[in-house]
Amino acid sequence: MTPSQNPTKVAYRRFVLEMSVAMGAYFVVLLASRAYFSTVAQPWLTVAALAPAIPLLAAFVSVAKMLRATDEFKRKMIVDSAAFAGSLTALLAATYGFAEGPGMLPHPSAWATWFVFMTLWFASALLIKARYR
Amino acid sequence: MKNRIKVLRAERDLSQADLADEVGVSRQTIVALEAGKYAPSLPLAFKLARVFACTVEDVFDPTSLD
Repeated sequence: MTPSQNPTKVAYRRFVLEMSVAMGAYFVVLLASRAYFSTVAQPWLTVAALAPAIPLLAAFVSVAKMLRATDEFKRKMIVDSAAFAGSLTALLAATYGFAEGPGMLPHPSAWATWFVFMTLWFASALLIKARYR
Repeated sequence: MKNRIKVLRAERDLSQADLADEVGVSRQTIVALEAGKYAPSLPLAFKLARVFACTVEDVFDPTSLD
């Protein structure tokens, strides 16, 4: 098998291409959405506000495809780090929710959960990578 | 899991990248295998044994799991 035929490398190259296209489309749609949603009424307001989720769905599909096509060790590292980040995010969200109930803490944006999960996923991926070195 | 991948690879003058391409995985996977920090699946163990033209037991030491 030559390097260009290695399925793990092929999967990675395809992932980079698909993710780049999805992220490029995301920023274009996001800018268009932000430009238009203050000028339109319902039902177009909903369409404009939610439109950036469509290229994000494409990004999700590219991650899922890469996860299926990459080699078993890389898949294990990605899944382990995502599971760790997801569990910790759920714990933090629940703990925050308990404090939020009686009004001890403000109601944050749903983006906060996304930010916490992605930060923890990145950090746990680095830790897991270091463990196998 | 202890194994002889590093020795067998050196005997055949293969780099980690060469071996990774032979069995269709990343070099990072070969690094983790050689360090004994990752136990491969049965299909990957057989692929490695095939590259080295020996049995799975010749590559991996099953007693290291005890």
